[in-house]
Amino acid sequence: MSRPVAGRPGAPPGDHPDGGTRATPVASGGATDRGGRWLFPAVPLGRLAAFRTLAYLYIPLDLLLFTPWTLWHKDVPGDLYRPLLAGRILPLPVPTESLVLGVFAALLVMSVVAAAGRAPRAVGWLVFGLYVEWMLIAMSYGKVDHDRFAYLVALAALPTAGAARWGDATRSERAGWALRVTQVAVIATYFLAAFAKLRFGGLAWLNSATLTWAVMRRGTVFGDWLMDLPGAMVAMQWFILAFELGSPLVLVVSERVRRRIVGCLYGFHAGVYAMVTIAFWPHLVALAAFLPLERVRPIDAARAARARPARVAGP
Amino acid sequence: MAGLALLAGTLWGTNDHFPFGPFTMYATARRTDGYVRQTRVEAVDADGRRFTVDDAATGLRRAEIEGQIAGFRDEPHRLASVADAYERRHPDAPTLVRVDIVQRRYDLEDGQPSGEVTKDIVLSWTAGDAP
Repeated sequence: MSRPVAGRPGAPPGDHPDGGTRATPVASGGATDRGGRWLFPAVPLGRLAAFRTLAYLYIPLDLLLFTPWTLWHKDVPGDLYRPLLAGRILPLPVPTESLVLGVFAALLVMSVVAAAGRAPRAVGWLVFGLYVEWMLIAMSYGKVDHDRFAYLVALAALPTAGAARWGDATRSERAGWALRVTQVAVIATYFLAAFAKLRFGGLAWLNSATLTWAVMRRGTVFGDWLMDLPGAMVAMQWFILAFELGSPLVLVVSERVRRRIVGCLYGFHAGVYAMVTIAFWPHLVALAAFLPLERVRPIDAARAARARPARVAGP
Repeated sequence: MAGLALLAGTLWGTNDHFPFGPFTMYATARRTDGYVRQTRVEAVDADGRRFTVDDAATGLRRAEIEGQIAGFRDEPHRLASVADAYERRHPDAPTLVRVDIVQRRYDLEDGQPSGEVTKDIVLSWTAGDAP
């Protein structure tokens, strides 16, 4: 049974820009003003539950598959540790083998517990704290990656949403808020990346050899082929800056258009991966906060698939 | 709060302010008549074998080595820690007696590789070097 979640009183149910079935109860009240409705959209709890499972199940994949090098830092002597500001302020200890292995094991276990939706607040905050420490272990040896701001925002927002069950159609503004701030962080990543290019590269970035640099250092057959096309690299740089500057539009267009654009964004990242084998995995997970994930029901689908052949096999 | 920190980080911050620093991925403008630089670590072990040391061999990614080059330049003996990391990950292998940071430069002409490549050992450490 789903537990109604406290929310803001006021607006009538039924006005749901985020799609889904309308004849469902609203767990929390409605936001009264337009901005409030935008920031606290009432979305099905099932969507939050599905996103939460996806977000937390990403952690074991991150630890074991996508960024195994973070664990390798257990073998790197402490004098190569270059703590970032956050690590110096807190102040976090120099990573040792036992510290790195301890955080690794705790994250592995707690992320699976969190993915199952157990004690979502307490476990969620614990996972957030462990993952921040894991990130500081990852990024404090001379290279900072820029693929996980939105994912960190998602990990910070998820515990605030509280209980949510898979498939629950009850609408909740807390769930809507957690997904909305993640969406804003996703778009901020694109938009502010454009500012970083203008700050560090200036307008000269547009016609520079930056993509050529990227392809030559880590290109694929596809990347090499594109590099040989006259003007292709520069054209892509113009496209990238224009799309990054225009990205906030995603937040104000209709839900239907928004989902199409999000599909294009996944396509863009697939293209980048084909070119230089760089994928912003955690960012791609956060990007799923835009999608009606409650419609993805793998357990139901598996049950239905198992039931179907039995019926077909009958006389 | 997080939004303001991120905005400030983008405008004035550095990578040190992670996760609120600027999104600097490929944000610099590379000159079309410049060059592309690629860094790698090479080592010689106690058996005299010379080989390229990949990321997994030391636990340090190529970009991390590049990010620490200035520090290695000031204190080359810190490259001994790269050898230590290798030995921790390969306890049964012969120890390293020499570590080189090698950079290849691929020259560009009009944004395309000109075919000219130069290879340089930019930093080097040999076992027994005074700290």
